[in-house]
Amino acid sequence: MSDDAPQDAAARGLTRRALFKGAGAAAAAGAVFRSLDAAAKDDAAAGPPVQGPGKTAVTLQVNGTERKVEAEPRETLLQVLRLPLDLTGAKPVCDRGQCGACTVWLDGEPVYACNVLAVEAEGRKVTTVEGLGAPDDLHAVQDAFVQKDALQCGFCTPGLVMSAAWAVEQHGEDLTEEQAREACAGNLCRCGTYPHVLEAALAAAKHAKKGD
Amino acid sequence: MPRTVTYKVGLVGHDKHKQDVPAVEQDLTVEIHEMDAEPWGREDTFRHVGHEVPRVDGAVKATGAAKYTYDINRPGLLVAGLVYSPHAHADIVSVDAGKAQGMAGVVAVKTFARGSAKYPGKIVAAICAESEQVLADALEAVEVTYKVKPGPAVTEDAMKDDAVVVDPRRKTNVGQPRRGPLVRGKPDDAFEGAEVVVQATYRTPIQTHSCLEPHGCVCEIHADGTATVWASTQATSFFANQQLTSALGLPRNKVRVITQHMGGGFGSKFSALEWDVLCAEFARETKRPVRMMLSRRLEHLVGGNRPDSIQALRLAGSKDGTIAALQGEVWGTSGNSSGGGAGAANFGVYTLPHLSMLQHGVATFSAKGRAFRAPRHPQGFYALESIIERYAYAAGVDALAVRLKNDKHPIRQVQWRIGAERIGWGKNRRKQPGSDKGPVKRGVGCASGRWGAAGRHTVGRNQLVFDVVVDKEGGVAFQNGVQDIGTGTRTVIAIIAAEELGLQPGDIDVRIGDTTYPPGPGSGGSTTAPSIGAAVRNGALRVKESLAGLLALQWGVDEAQLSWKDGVCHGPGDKQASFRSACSLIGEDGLRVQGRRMRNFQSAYGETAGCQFAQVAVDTETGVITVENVVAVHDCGRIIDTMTARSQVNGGVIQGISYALYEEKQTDRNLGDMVNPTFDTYRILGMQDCPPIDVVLTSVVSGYNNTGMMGLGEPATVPTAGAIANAVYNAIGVQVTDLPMTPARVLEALERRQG
Amino acid sequence: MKAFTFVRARSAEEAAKTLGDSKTGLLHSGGCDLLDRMKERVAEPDMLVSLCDAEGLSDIRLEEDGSIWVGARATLARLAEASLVQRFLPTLSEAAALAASPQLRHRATIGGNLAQHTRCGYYRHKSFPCLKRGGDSCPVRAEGGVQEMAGIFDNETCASAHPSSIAPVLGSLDAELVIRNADGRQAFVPSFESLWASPKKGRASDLALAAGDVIEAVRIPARDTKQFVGYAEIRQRKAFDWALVSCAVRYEMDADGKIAQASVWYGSVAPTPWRAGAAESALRGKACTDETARTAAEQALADATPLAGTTYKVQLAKVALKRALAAARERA
Repeated sequence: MSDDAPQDAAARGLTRRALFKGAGAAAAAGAVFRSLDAAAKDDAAAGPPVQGPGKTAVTLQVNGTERKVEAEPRETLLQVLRLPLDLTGAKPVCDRGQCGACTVWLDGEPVYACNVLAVEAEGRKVTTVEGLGAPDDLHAVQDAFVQKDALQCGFCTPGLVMSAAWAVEQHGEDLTEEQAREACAGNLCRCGTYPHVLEAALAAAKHAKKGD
Repeated sequence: MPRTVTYKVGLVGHDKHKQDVPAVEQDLTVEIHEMDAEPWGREDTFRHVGHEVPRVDGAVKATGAAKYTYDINRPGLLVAGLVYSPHAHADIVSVDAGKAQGMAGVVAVKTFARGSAKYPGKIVAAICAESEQVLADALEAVEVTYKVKPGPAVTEDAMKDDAVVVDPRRKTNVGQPRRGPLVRGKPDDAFEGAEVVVQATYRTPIQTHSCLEPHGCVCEIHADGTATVWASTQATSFFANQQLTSALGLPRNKVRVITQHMGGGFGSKFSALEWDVLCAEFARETKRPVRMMLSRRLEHLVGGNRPDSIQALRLAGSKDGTIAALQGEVWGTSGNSSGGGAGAANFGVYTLPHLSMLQHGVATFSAKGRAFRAPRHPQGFYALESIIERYAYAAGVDALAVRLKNDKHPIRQVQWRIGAERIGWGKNRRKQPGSDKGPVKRGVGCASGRWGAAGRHTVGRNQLVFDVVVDKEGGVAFQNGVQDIGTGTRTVIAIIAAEELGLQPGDIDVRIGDTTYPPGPGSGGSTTAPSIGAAVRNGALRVKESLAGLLALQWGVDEAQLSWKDGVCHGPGDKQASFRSACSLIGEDGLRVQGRRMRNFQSAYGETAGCQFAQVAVDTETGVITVENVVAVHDCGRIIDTMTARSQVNGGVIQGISYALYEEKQTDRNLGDMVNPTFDTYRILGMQDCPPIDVVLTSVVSGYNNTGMMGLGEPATVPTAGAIANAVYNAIGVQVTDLPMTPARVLEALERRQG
Repeated sequence: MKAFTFVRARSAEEAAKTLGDSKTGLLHSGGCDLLDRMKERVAEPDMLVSLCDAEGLSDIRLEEDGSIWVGARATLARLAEASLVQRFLPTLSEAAALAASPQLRHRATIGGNLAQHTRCGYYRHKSFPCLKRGGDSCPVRAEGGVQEMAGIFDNETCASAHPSSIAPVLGSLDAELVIRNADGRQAFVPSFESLWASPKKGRASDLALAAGDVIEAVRIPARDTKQFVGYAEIRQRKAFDWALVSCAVRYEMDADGKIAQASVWYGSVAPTPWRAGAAESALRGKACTDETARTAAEQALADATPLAGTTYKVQLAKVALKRALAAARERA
């Protein structure tokens, strides 16, 4: 049963155990073991793939384009984006997943690029601030950042744009102030752009649809 | 010939407050240099100036297209890094970099195996390598042997009688001002006969600048014997100092410094520093471009900080709320050197007939402080406003009334009233502090701020000059070496030029952040905009004069018959020409003029005024403080861009809240090293903790220069901590005397109150 | 980071076997904490055995016996949002939603959250001496040490505090851990308490697991009676901060409206998630009133041994328990 399935049962206020009463609960405990053991047997033959420690080929889907790079397993996604790929929008600030300046989307979800190994991103969709829009073709959130002056020195801005744009994507025109704040909670700004970032996110959301 | 102009200066109005404010104005007569424009007056109206203008470089910043120093990728780029001492005090016995040297991909190694290391972060080796991975391995492979010695790393330990001294030529770490205490009037007598005397000792922490882009540069020496240095600096003109140029092995005129964008400075990034010099040496030795950027840990350790303070204050006054005297002694450390703003600006604003203030710089075994957004002021105003608050309660006089009574600044008199109304002082101020029922208690407080920055007409010993280049297609470029630290310098230039030339701000090609252009001022003291603004305006006037000259020739009339209005040049009869059509008269080689910054006028308003009000909620069970609302009322002379000005005030307030509640460099007193050099434990304010900030910009015609601009970046952070501390006091009925006001400290204060 | 080989395990069993063979390899899940420690070279594995390609490890599902199975790779973002968790394990979803930041919640996994190391600034930088890293004593405990983030229980040898706010919730729910051993067999950690080991010189991990043990899932058992659950977290910033103290409670009522059985767990007060047995005893047989909560809070902290810099945490821990109990009552 998937995590989103038991809505109906939940709505009826059944307890968890009640959900399965009469559905053959007696046979349940063993089932887990069987499925796992079966999976294990299939894998036993060949060993797992191994990469590194030297450079290894990594293929990324960056901003809709396939990019092939050579990277050591210890190179972070941030390092690979910035140096071989010269996508310097994501910024190195703390390199410890604590400031948000390197925020990118991995398969559409915001992550800290300094906290992801490049080899982990193999074959996955990476969206950087450059992929969102260009100076002459701004994404609605980028445009709102400019119009509301949601930037000062600008070093945190690419990260905040990615977080704010994710909030707009998630909630569309329903985006609340609280949701916008929450979405940007993992981004630090030293100049103090937060009030204008909030205005920009909410302004951009006004014209957005969910999943835009 | 200089000419004399009389015009009205004073408060013009403000961007939000609907009610009338008392007229604050006076006639000012100034002498104006023949090269200088007549000042914009109170009645002038504008198409761009004072409006909400989006930043001209907003789009490149919002898309990641803007290139910062850290983003410079040059062909063949090498990266450099540092090995540093973690000790407060140690002799460097040996540095063995043999292993590192032998690693594939390590290009150059330097070791500094001599003398003693007197602060954590002291560089003992530097390595230059082909990649960040090799660099990390090589830094790790350097073996350093230290002989660790005792040495106090924090102020209170360094003040002890038996403390090891930082400077062996001195007997003590505690400095004494050469001229003794600052004394005015007869403070001792004033205390003797005073009706009300209060005293307290306030402590403020060391705050690190925490610029998001760390310090550092990229150096490249070209085949033609010139060098380019991309630097994260707030002063392109001063970055290439003698150490840097000699490390590059080039005369200064061969060294070009570029700072197109920079990720924050706040006072910590002027001249080239040790690591920049090492970067230059590597570039020279390897004949390749080299990048050296500090790690976040090193940035916290040596990138700069606001010195801490211990401020023992006494204040005397009468029962009617008139302050008579302030007495105090202050200690603070700027690390192992002087400067950087140790001490506290804890007097001023209020009329203090009798004053005695003694300030000591305390040497410690820690990296030195650097100028940090309004050096000495946030710490000083926190303590000053806190002792005044104590006095107000002791005298039984409303705290706002005390301020109105003792503050003679005509602009601030208006600002106090605006702020009080907007925070709801009458309703939200607790008459009986700490009187709310339930565990969460609310209160409001206020504090003053001040600054004075009308800008300068010089850069070093040069006059501040903009080169203006206009081509026959109507393209206009304003060129100066000045950098945009994040305040919106490009935008200010574009707005003023566009205003004068009848163009749109986006039409102006602003070329800055490059020493190829005339020297630009450093972004410090909140002087950048007021310095350059007047020069830009003069540059635009020279363009109009030159174009008028060309039109006069074309039309066969006398130049004196021509005048410009809204970007159109009018001649006799119905002759007129738009800016663009006038430009068509320019030759192929373009029109080049200079905009010169002339001296400031003598104005009536020596300082800008400001005040802030805060409302807080304090959870008295946990000691957690939530700032619920801030009203910030500030004057910065003529406002050029209301939107970027508001951003500046937001930034000042936010750094101030962060300083009041969260930030503190925590040092182990035995080992001397910083324990929290990461952003999860060196806390700075985040999005969810940012309250609504009600920014009120009182527009003042300062009469200081032809635009009337004054600085805003620093003053906006001066009052914040004091306002919040006073709001907390009002909420819980006891004063928290140490910043930051952490849950531990709030609970401790509450316990003191009960016990 | 030191260079390492990256092994893409396709199952927990494969990961366990590879780790068991390697001796010096480390398990990689979300990497949120591990990569930080590797960057500081506090951890220097020559092999990372990653679960990034492993399938079936991130399920959140209802088992037929009513227990809830949470795969070790389930992210905190999913714990926060999954309706199954919101509905049946509200305190888990609440704690997950409060943890870290959106970016980290999309990477951090429940297994990794349990395996994370202390945030102690001394532990996390090599230039400081540290007992957990093999030093002779804990410098935090010394007068002049920075103690603000330290623990108030079990701090005689090491004053670190376990940062997980998910762990106390799992403790309060009597979560079981499903472990895959190096020999490929599946095992259950009998009680949540037995998962943890007090600090010892030279031992970095706080988990009482053998090399090669891979957390495969967390299983939250079903119960026949109505459960009252509450969670409270006290922290300085709303945005992206560590809990100063977190507290999770679960209790059942008897027919007389008295607490029949209670479970009380704390985070950030000891080197491991901390079970407050004294509070559990104090709650048993009492009606869940403010007075009972006050007594339980006093009992819970009676044996605390705060350092000079952590006395405030005693107060916070009392308040956290009262608030967690109040939350449980309110939810019901």
